[in-house]
Amino acid sequence: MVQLAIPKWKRMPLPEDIFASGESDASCVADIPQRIVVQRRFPQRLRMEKSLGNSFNIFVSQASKNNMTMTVKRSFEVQQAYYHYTVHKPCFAENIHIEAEAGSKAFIVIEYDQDDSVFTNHHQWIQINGRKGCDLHLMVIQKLSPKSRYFSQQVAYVEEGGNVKITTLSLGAALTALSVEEHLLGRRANGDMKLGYLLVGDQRSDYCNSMFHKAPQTTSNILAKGVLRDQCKKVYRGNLFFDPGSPQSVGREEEFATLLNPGVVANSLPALICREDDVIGEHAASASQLDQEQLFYIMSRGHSKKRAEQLIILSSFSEMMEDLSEDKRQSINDWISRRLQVERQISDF
Amino acid sequence: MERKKSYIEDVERGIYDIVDQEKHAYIVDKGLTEEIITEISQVKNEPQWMLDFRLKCLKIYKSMPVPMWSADLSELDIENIVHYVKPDAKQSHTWDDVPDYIKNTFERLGIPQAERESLAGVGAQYDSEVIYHSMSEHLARQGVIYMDIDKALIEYEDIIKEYFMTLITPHDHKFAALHGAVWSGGSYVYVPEGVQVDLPLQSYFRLNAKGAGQFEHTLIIVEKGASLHFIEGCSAPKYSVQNLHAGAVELFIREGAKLRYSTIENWSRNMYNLNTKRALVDAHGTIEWISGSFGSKVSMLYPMSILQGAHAKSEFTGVTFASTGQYLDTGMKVIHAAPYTNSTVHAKSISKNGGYAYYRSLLRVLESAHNCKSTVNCESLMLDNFSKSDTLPIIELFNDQVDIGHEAKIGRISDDAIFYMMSRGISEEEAKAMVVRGFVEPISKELPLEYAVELNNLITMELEGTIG
Repeated sequence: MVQLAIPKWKRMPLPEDIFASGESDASCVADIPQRIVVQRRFPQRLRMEKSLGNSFNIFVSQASKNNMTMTVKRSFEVQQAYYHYTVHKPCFAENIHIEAEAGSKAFIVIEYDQDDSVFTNHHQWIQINGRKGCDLHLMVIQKLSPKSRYFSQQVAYVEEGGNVKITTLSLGAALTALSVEEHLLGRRANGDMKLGYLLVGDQRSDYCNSMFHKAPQTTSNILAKGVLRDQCKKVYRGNLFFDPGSPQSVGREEEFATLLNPGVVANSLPALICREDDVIGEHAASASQLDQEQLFYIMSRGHSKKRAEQLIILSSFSEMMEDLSEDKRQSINDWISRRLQVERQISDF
Repeated sequence: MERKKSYIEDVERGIYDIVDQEKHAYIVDKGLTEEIITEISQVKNEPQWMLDFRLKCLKIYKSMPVPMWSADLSELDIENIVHYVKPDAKQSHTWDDVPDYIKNTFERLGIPQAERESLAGVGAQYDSEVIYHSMSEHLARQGVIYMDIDKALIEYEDIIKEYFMTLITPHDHKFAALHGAVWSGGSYVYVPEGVQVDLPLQSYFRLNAKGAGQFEHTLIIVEKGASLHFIEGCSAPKYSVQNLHAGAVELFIREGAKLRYSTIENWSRNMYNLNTKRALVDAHGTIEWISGSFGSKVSMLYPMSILQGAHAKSEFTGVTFASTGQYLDTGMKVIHAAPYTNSTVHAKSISKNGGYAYYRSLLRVLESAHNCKSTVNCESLMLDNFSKSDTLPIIELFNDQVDIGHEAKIGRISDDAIFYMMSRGISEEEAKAMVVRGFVEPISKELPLEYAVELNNLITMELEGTIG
């Protein structure tokens, strides 16, 4: 494999061994409806965006052991397709291509889990082609061990009238670099991005959500919500681009960061890049401690302060998980609770 | 169906573009060498430490790279800039003693009239030197000092030595170093403890010389419990060659003091405006920035408030109007370095006719700044499809006990609003101007009436032309 240069990021230094090669594998449990066609290959002609950088692109394309193309057939509707990967080797690189054909509708969940003692460099490239009138929701749940690293590039191209929603729950890993892009190529295409993150201990994360409005009457929403505790560091970039030729488009971006103690570092870089006058672009960001009024209200209902804090934190993620089943939501809540090392039993709320 | 859109042509800048005949008492050669720096210092009869400082800054300047993260500065040729031009006029305290051609220029700009009607003191700089300075007697009796900084360097050398370029250091960036090397003119203001300066002081900087630079230095110290409103105006006629403005503003606001610093900047469209402004605010002190950026070819201007005392406060209200050929990269920096500090940023930008407005800001909350609050709000208006508008507000938090809110919006003039006003008999041109004036109203209402009128005139001037 070609020796790749380690990118020099100003706000989030990267370790020297991020492109180290080694044993690469993960076991997978999947629940895939027949209406999704899965092939163990990846398209030859792949559109590569800048995302995390060329080094990551090259590494994933060379090192990938999990090449997969999922095709949601034209006009078919899929309630839920579910992949659960347990990652147990030092390397795991994968290429995933999702083709949502015209008029199709699907909800695809990909979850990554591993034992807390395992270390993995996880590199991921996901590309989505959302064809005319499709309605696709991809949800990626990352629960890697506190030792691992997660580098993910997710890019979606949305054609006329298509709707692609990408939700990422970034809950584990010592270091996360995540870039999610949506390119709204066709008239009235809609892009939706949600990011929920939990950072505790000395976790570091660099998140980037970018929405490119490239056609008229396109709409988009970006929502990022997260909780930071201990000595963790977060960099969040939310970018809204309105390219020439995107009149009457509307894009919105919001970020809410909850800071739980001194010592956390939270950087936000929301950007609006506008080359078209007839658009509406808005972004908003806020950062604060837990809402004292909410705490007071929950405690007035008989809960301890610890429990009240826990409930508020969990509620930050509920909006991200609304399409998941009740069981799945509960298991994620339990996982978050364990991560927070607070009381586990929360169902009496 | 194709949607009809309105466009606005570029305009003449009227009084701001009138060129005076160049009459210099002294002018240095183009370029930047140790000999030129020494020559400037000798002509100004400065103490040795200042010459040493200038030469040190020159070395720093030459060692630093041109910033690449913003505007394209590749066309800016420092070796082709004249860094010191002394006008053929001595400093006077009555307008009658100012040469007619300079006096007429400032009359056209409305400075003497404003002085008569609404100011407590005026400083007028023409090219590299201050040619007029006055302050009302009752302020002098209270111990207020307002003079040009070259004079202060002689009369208050110890104070200048203590404060000069300590807040903006030559290591900050290349053009801060350039400023340290070639600075000339500017104002020194000292407001003693407890003194409330009732009417504003104004310094106006006019650059007339072709291909020259202006590097004025403003140093203001507002002592404990005192207050001041300082207004800075600047303009230059348009030439076909580059002009450069790299001034520096250092503001020291002591405990419980308040300073409002207002700027209406209308440089010509050949000007590189690479100015640096910084305020250090002690406990319970307040800095208020009011900023209107209209002119220049390129602007990179980000006033900074450093809130170093508990309960210190910073407010920024600014408007940027970018038109043909302009790249205006403006914004604000706030450093919360103490607990219970508070900051507000309210920025608006308008771009038209290919103008490029870039709002860039930094909000940094240090570990020590618990219980601080900050609100950042920026709005951008694009008047046509040839223009560009970007917004990049950076937030860096090193503390959890904060309450930070940020909002930004971008869009165009509402067609419904224009249609409504036109249905009431208002022309499309006037309707559009009304909407724009309404857009900047939060800024204009913060200015004294005369300057609000000037702001509105500038907007009208920018919007004049063909619509259709």
